Amino acid sequence: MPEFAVREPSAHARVIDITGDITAASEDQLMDAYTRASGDGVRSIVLNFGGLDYMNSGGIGLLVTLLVRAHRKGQQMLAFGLSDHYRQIFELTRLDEAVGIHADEPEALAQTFS
Amino acid sequence: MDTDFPFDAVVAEFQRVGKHFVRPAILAALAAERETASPELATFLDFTLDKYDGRYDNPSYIAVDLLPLGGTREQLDRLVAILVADVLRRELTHGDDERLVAKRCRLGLRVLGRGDDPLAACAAVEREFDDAEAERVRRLTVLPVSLVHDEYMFIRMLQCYEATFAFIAVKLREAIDAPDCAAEAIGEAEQAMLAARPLWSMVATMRAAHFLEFREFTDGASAIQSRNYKLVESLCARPSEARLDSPAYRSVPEVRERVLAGQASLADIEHDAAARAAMERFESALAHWRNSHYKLAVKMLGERRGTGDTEGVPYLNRVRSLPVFASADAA
Repeated sequence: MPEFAVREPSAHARVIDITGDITAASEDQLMDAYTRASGDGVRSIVLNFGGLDYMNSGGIGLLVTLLVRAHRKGQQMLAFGLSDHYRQIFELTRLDEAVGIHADEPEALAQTFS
Repeated sequence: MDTDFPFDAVVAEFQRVGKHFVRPAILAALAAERETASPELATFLDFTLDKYDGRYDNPSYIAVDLLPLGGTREQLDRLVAILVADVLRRELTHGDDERLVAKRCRLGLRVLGRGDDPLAACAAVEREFDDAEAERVRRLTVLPVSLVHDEYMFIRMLQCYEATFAFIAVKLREAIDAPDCAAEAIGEAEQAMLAARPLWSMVATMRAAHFLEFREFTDGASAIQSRNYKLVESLCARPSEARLDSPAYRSVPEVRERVLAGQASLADIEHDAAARAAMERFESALAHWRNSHYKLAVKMLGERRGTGDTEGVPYLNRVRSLPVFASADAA
């Protein structure tokens, strides 16, 4: 069972800590986490993939959905904690061109909108 | 264009699963985005959402509204070069049959006329046309409905023909508006038709099994709905009332309305000998195109019905004998 915990490192940024798998079956939970994360004034959504066990094709589709929803709200999307394998997946699916990928949380937070 | 929008990720997702199979949540997110999108972004989103909206047809399948159509011959050649080079690039990177890739590259190089090295030719086209418009055509105008390999080439070829007919329509209008220069304008239309001829050799490499597989998901879109082909046909001569009432014209209401509003055609005008000779040559070139289309349909479809609620091969067989410049009553 995946978990998507939301943290508030600053007034304008939220971190979603991903634990477990992201598949099509995670849709409701991930979208719910995004809704909780993107309250008033939030300009940056940071995805923490450090606890990711597995992501399949359906999971990629969920991330594209998140990207479009974040764009509509004028939010930037960043990520950290991706393994080499999933970094490659991000490149293949062009997600890396829309999601700022960083090595760790401090680096990602340093790039968030203020 | 809205540079912040994740175009590449969206296109990659559509191409990864096929437009017919995109997740409903993505489509809903794109539809919500469209509500407040700029006109340019909205045009792209319309292209992604045609099936979602229930208005999927040939123009939306081939992204007509995103293509730079109807300009000069130089602009037509440029667009065809970009589209054909993109097909070759796709074949070289995703081709699933070595011999077929080599054949398509050979035929594509014939269209491009840029040496005998497909990679070098692609790179040359990409270098020569590296502006924002060319980039938009390459990145945003091909969303196959399936993952069947040959569909990508099929869409690009349909776009080449649509661009050719859009250019021809411009020239035929010139001929109608300025009868003194009609021979020259019709001659340019004929030359464009002849230049598009080698494209048939590329389309003919499409595997029937692939075509039959992806047409399962293109139902509702048919070449019969080509706006610019109908425009060309109606600029040559006013279609008969029966043809205007057929699905062929009902599916292109903007063209049908122009005809009903009294659009002039070449058949309505007295021409000098030079113009008449040019019209004969154009008619011959168009007849060749119709025959090629018919033969390809026979190869791909056999006796099956066409998409877009047409009879398929019998329809193409019948319309290929329609006189190009005959008056409405005769046609």
